[in-house]
Amino acid sequence: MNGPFFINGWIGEEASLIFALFIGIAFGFFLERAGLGSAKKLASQFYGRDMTVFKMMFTAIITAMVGLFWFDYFGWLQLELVYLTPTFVAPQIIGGLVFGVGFIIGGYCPGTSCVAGATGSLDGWVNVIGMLAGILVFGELYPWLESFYNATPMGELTFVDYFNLPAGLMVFILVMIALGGFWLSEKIETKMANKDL
Amino acid sequence: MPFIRKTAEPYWNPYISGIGLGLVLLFTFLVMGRGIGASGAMTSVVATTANVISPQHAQANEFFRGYLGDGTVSPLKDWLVFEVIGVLIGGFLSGIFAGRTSIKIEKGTGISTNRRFQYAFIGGMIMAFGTKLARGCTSGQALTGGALMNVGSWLFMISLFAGAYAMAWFVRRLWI
Amino acid sequence: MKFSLNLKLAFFALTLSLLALIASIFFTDHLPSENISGSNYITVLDLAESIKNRDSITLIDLRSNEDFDQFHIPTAKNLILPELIDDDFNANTKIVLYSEGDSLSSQAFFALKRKGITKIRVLKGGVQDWYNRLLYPRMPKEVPIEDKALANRVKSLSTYFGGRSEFVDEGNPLDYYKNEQSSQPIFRSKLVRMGC
Repeated sequence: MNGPFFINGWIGEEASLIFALFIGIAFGFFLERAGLGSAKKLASQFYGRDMTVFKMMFTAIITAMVGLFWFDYFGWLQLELVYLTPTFVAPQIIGGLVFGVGFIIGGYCPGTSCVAGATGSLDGWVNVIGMLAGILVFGELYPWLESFYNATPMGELTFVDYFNLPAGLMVFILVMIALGGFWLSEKIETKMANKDL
Repeated sequence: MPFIRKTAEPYWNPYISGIGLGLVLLFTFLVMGRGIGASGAMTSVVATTANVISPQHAQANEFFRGYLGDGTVSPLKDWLVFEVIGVLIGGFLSGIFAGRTSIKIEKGTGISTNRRFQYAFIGGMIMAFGTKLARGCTSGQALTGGALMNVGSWLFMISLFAGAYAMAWFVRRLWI
Repeated sequence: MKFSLNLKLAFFALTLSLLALIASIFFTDHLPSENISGSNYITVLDLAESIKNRDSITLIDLRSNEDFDQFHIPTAKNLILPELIDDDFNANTKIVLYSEGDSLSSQAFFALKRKGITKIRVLKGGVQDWYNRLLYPRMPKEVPIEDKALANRVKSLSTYFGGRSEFVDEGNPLDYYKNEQSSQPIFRSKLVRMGC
């Protein structure tokens, strides 16, 4: 194997679009299976009653992370060719906070609103339209936001580079954090199940 | 059709679904050398619409121009756009198989439908703004970057949970 | 004793990541044979374009000081192999290595890779190809219609770096660039924009 296949020229551009469609189908399928197409289930995360969002997200992250480690280790995938979104500390922290506020008000994130819409939730479609409007507003304000958007750049940066640790150690640490988080989530769910807010 | 059930099936175990999603993500890295996303497709749609309505205006904006490309290929013929079309199909199919696809409005018991729509719209706007500022959403940043141990993505993810938990108490009447 | 499914999954994750920890600390020389794959090369055309666009790359000439003084690619910095290994690079620096041909730069590629610097490209064909294929490229007198864009790209880059094209009667020297193109990663894809 010599991954990434697309970058190494094993599959063409048109084929990559067909592949995108199938990846999307699987992505949407698993989101819906876990119940992330439901705004109430998503919102329950933030009232401690149903930690599905956290559990699913971090399970997916550590699954892919451990997989990437072994693919790289056996030389099946050249990790340095995988696209990394560059780090910009300030806009990503502020963006995350703003995103979180919008998430709990609207009840969805971009991927899950599509799943909600596809399963017939009208509020999911309204949320999508709201997002399109938000993107338009962002685009129009971009000339004024540009300097902040590009503030505090750190380039393409992973924890492995930043802490200068062996990749396996970093993977191990993050998996341990995730497992601890899962254990805590189960505790919180039991405790918060019947509590009034 | 025999596979459409009358009563909704229970959701899958979140860890099992998570492993499924993680393997999809891993496979995308292996094949494409990039992760999954969602908000990028919506930006392509917005940029294309803006370009249809007022080409001069859209072309003058550096942000939209990034999504419009050089004009030789339609911005909608884009990897993420195809992926999000897939998400719609996949979500729909899973909902059908489990008896969960039906016209409905998801809201807490305490608020009216109109209110729910208003909040869904405003929430969507705020979220989109955050997404674009952070260069990605829960899929493009949190999942993809999380798996790659990308520093910026983890910062985004932690801030996302912090923002939502901080706001949750104020809007609890929306959901409970 | 019977374990729940969730506990089994957690145990599985723990095992895999513990093995990852052990592997990356104790078994680092695991890959059977190293060779540079196509995607670790950069072609003279792409390098020329990067220099012209003032991309932030560190270009390193691995040849001797005399050779460097006689001729080198613009923006290059002269470091011989021992100096290169001792040099402290940021792991994020994008480095392009070149030597006379491919062999010395390939050696240097693996030396840097072992130091954990991964964003490295090797100039395909080295300074030889830069001179013969970019500064003084040969062109067919009659450029086939499908090669017009390529020919123009080569000509304009050649002119930019102060070279000049020569014309030949026989064969199509432009084929050189096409073969190189196929082993190149498709970074400037039109349909696959990276990131969200």
